Amino acid sequence: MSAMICAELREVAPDVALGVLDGADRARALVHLASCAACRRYVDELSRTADALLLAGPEAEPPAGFEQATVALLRPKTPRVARLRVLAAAAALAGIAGSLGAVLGRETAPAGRDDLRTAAIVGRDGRQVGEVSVHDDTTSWCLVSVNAPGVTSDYTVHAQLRDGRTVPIQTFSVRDGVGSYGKVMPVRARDIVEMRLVAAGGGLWATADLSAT
Amino acid sequence: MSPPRRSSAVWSPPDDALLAGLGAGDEEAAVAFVRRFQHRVYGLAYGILGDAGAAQDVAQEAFVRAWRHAAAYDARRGPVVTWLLAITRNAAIEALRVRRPQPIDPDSILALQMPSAEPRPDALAVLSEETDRLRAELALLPVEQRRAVLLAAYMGRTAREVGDIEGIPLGTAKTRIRTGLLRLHSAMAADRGAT
Repeated sequence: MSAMICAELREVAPDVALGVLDGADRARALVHLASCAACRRYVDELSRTADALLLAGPEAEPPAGFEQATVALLRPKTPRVARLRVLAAAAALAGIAGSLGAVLGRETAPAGRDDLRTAAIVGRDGRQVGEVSVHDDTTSWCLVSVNAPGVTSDYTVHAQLRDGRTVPIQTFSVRDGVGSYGKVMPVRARDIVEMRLVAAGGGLWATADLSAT
Repeated sequence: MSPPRRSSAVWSPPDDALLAGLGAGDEEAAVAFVRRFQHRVYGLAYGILGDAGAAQDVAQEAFVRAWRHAAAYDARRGPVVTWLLAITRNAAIEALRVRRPQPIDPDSILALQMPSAEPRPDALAVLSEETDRLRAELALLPVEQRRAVLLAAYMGRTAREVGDIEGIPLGTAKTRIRTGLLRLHSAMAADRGAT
């Protein structure tokens, strides 16, 4: 397989962005993209337009009963109490415990249950930039919400454990000051004493003290 | 800390928080997630398949895949709705290849444009503006380029397949796909730069 040069890649870039390049050309393009940041950026830009095409697609009213039938397919095998705990954590994530229930048309379990721990995320200058919630159930979850006007960057969340270990949890994006995510953690929430948000360059941006919660 | 952004009197949870709840097995989050995206998911499936029953099956399959793979969602690669619609498109293409030897007329996809009555949260509202602009740009493309782009973008057709469907040489099909997407991209990039 011969290597593809930038000029060739630029020619097939629309096909790559649309996901319709096949066979040997696709393999050659991927090899080139793995080592060429400029072409990767170009394909990423075209991909944004290709993705927008899906958003420009039709919307239509589903048949009667679609919502109920679909939700029934999404029913997990976890007990009801576990679901409420997750929802409470989701409400805490948004910093608006209770209002999620209003949106969903019913009351939710209040934040602050025994297994739900929430702490402010504080920047190095002492200002609060967000909130983190962790909880243990059948799985352990971490929910992070950042609201830091003017900030656009990627951060990796690290969990500092009681035994001294630091475990990376997830990298996520803050755009125009806002970012949030929820993630199953490979560690137990009860073992975490601090969450650390680390910038792409490795610098510590903010922390959340969970030792006292 | 300033309060979360509100788009209306009732605050809507962010898409990624709903997806996290869906992945965690929260039924209320699942209801809200399906309610928020069902018009888009079903509409796209119907646009690709042209059959209500098949579209319902594919739309449900898309939601199930989103539920099962919620943890794999990476916000750096785009918004939740784009991720979900890509899942829908892939599921529809799989169904299309089984059910129908030839795709439906690509222009019929755009004939179905029923905006959802559901109030849109901030992120979707912004996306909606971009979507409206893109729809307008699509309408301005030469018809042969628009058809080629739609066959590729919605139905996953390669240049060779587009050539077969349209009865044109492979080179012509490649040119139509590439020129069409590049025109759309240039128009959207200019628009983003102007705003």
